Amino acid sequence: MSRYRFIIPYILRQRRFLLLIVILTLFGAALATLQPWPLKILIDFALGDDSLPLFFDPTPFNLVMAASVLSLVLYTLNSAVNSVLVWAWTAAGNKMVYHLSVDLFGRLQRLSLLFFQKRHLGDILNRLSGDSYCVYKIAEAVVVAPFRSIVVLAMIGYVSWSLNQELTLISFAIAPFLGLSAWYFGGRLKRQSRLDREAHSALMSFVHQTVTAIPMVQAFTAEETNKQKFDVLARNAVTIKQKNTLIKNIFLSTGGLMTTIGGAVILVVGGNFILNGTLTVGSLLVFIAYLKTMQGAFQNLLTTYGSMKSAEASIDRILEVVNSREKITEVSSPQPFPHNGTVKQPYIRFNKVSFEYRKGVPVLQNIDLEIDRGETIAIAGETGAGKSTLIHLIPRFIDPVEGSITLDGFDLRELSLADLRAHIALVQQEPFLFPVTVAENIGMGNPKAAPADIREAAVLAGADDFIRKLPDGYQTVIAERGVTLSGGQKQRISIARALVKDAPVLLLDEPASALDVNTEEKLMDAIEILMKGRTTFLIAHRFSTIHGADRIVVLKQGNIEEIGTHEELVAREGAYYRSLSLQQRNAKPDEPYNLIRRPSGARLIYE
Amino acid sequence: MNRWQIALLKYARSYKKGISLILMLMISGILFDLLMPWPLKLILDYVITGEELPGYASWLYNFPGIESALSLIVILAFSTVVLFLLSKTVTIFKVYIKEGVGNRLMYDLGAQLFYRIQRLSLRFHGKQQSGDLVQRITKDSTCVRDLVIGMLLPLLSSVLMLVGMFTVMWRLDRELTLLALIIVPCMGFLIKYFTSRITERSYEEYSVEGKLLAQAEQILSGLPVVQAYGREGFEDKRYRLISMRAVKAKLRTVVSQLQFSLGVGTLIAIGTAITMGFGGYRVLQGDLTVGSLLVFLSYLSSLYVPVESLAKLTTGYASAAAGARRIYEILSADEYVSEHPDAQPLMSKTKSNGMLVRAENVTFGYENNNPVLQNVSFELLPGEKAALVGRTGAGKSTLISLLTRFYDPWDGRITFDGVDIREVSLQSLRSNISIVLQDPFLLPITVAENISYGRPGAGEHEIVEAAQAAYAHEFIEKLPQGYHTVIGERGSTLSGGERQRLTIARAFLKDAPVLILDEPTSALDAGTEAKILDAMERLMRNRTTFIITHRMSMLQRVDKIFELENGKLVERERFDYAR
Repeated sequence: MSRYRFIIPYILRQRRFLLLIVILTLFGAALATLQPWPLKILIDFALGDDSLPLFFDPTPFNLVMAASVLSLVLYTLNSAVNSVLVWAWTAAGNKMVYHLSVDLFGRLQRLSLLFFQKRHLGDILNRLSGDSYCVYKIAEAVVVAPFRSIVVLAMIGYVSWSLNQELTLISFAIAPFLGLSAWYFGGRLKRQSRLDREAHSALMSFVHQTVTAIPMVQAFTAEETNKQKFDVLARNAVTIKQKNTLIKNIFLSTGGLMTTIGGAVILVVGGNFILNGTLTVGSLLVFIAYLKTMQGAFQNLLTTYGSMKSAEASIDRILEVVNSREKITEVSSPQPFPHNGTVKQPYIRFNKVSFEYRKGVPVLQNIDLEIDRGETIAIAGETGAGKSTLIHLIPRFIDPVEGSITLDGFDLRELSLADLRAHIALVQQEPFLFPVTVAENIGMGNPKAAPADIREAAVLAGADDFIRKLPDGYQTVIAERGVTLSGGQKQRISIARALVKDAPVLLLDEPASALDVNTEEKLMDAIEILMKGRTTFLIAHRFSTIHGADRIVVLKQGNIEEIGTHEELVAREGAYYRSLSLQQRNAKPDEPYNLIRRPSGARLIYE
Repeated sequence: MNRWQIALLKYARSYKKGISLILMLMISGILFDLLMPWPLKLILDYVITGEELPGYASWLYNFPGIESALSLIVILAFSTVVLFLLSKTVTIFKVYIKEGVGNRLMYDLGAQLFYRIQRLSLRFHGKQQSGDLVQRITKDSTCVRDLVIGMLLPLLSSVLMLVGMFTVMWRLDRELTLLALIIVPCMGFLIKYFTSRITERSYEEYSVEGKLLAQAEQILSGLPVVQAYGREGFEDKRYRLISMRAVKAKLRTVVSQLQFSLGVGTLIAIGTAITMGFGGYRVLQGDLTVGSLLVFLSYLSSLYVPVESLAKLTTGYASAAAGARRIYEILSADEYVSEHPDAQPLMSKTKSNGMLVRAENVTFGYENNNPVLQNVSFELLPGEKAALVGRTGAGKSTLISLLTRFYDPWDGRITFDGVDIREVSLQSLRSNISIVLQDPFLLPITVAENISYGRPGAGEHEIVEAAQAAYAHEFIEKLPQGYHTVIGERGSTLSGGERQRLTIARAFLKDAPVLILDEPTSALDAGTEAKILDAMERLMRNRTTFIITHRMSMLQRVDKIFELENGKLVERERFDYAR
């Protein structure tokens, strides 16, 4: 029940629509009840011998006309009311979904990166686009459909009771049988459709993984084997699908069968009444028409439970996001931290910081590190040593499991996130650009940036030339068709962005390692301009990028293995030196020990 | 007819039997449906009025125990149940077969595409995104099902149903039928007017929804930057904007759908009113019976379904046609690596000890005038091990792609045991090479199937032996279903080292004389690497081996070191690298 507490406000928010739906439903049910009556008028009064209980006695011809006009009016009104009802319900339901998914997206954006590390993006997107429909389903299953069914049943029940009580009892007698068949088939259908989905997705993921690794497939000449495997999976999927439709149709047919049997019984009993003269032909036709409507209403009521169950699973998956503990909490009254520009070159301190993504698998252990004002720290180490994790702690994408980090003496957790992040600029290995204009991308971190500032930053980052050659210059929208930027160009834009933000702390996560050597060399000039006067963390693999740093931290399996200036580490002849000299001799065998002037682009090798 | 239509119809021809069975079932189903209102007519027109049944129903008197009107009513009422059962049985059969034929059509087409895509050259794959190809195999292949089962058959059935109804009505009362027919051209107009609108609007709806999803994906995958630049609020707004547009687009579609059904409903209502008015008048005149009037009315009320399915045709056709065109693109692609017309199988002369591999002045590039490899030559004796080093982008992976003939060199040649690899069959060339990549390539099939991937049909004990040789047996045994565990399913996630050991086991089982290792350990940490080095060393024994690597631990284990720089290959002395 507690899960509904989260959903209900979204439903109630559309109360105006819900009110409209209630009114229309009542109206529609009344129309549905009246629908067979023109036929009764036609057959009993116009064509039969009965006379209408009226003060005047119309001619049969007039009655025929009246019946047909009445039928036209009722039928048209009924479809009009139904159309408005469907429209109102679509609008209400989609607005519920809209609000839920917008809220969900907002929450997702503010979660810690930890949440994303543990889940596939596809799964998360499913929650956003698929599971958010649960509110629609729940409102439909719990509120709208049952209400309509009950109103229709009550009205039809009342009218038919006043026409003939025996026949009414017979018509209602089909309800328990319908219930029984729904109960019998419900579980089976659900299981079957789950099997269906699984079979299909097994095939899909097989195809996906094969097609993304074509070279391997060809290298192993596995085309035939794969085709056979595909056939097996496909045949399995077809068999399950066939069984699925079989069960579904048998289920639907049993409902129809019950109604038909009910209709046959009514025909016999009612025919007998007609022969006795206690029932008119028109009333019998009314009953037969009601029976169909009733079957629909009962079946809707019975499916309520099933659809509630499936929607509940979706709610749970949404609540997992909403109630996720993997979020960065802000203290209620954060310490004021001086705003942009006033803090020049803050110092940062790691106090016994440990971090883990999974319990018992530490990624960082007891890191103690102090970075002076304006210092550039290079972080080196193997893949998986914890380099990116270390710098992700600074803007609080994640929080340490143990220990604390301070910025100018303030614990990061005591600052507001907005304040903290306003002081940090980030450049990643894979430059991430927003699908807005180039100018907006560059001006992103500083709302006050004027076009001149943006241009200046672009010039400094070496981006001005190619930006001006774009179709709309600085107003070109990124990621639209026809505008493709190279990796180096994207990276220059993200460097310009960091320049405009002018934050005192700079995080560079392998800014150049996705680029080829020549591009890297050119880019490093821009990066050096960017680093000037800021406290900088720099992750890099290439020696040419690292050796200019004030100090170098070598991480190994979550621990600091070595720390010091380039010269100190060389003198120490540790891991750094070994990987360096290895690379050195590799490239220039005749100058084995000249470590100062090195070919750029050489990669550090760790043993 | 378009080329793709012909291609697809040709393709559907192999299911002639199933399709004609469906057609037969469809026709008999329509007959039962047409008979449905008749028992009621008989009751009202003859039994209750006390008249004799007409000639076509007089056989009912042959039933034993027909004495009273009531027993006739019972029989006729019972016949509605029988008619219903018959019609439903036919429907269920029809649906069952339809589902089978339709999906088999779809998956067969998918299989065909899958097979072709797998065999197309990497040159083709270099231009295509794998996501797009997957889309073609999985989504676009539904077009054949949609066209044949979803459109052709419903079209036939709707037309037959309409013709049947009007034939029966015509025999009952011609003038009334002609009056009822007035609504048909109006319906035609409605269908024509609304379908293109509904199609357009639902297309708009899908594209907005697609945009919304793409945006969410983009933002969530770039979350560090979003958070670092404090853009959450802005992104909220953008998401809300597109989200609202999606809601509006959806409502617009629904509105035109509703307008359409309202139109059809009103037309049916008008037809019903006309029939009631004029039919009632005919009954008063004594030209028509009440029962026949009811038959008319019941046919009119069931008009909605065939009309609706006709209306859906245009919409469905447009999307199916788009899919079909995309499929035809693949079916007509011919970028295969060409095989020599009389290619011989490659036979290893020194199989037990590897092969002699030579490259002679090989030049190759992906774009014209931009060679990645220039005049590369080397020789590896049977059983020799060579390391290939060089910067990212120096052409190491390209060189290896030439050995497996993913591409052919522009100039120069590569020989295995002295035979130019372009002169042997692709299949035999590749069966002589084993590959282990940095990212272990495993499929979501069982562990055993993954290991025997390069040698399907290998015996169980051979698989186990290979796993033991790769030091993988132990952890495989601990998996939930051992060798029959499907990889990637719940509870069976493997670590990077374990995955790599499976690919090594695969290479053991394949037992090819030439071995290619592309940074096999660089995704692993040092501890894990140490564990699999032994397995790797055993694998390399007696095979001609190429290793792309930067690890010292690997460089120490090779006979030769080749370095690629600026497209040129230079052989380095081993001691350059040893410390």
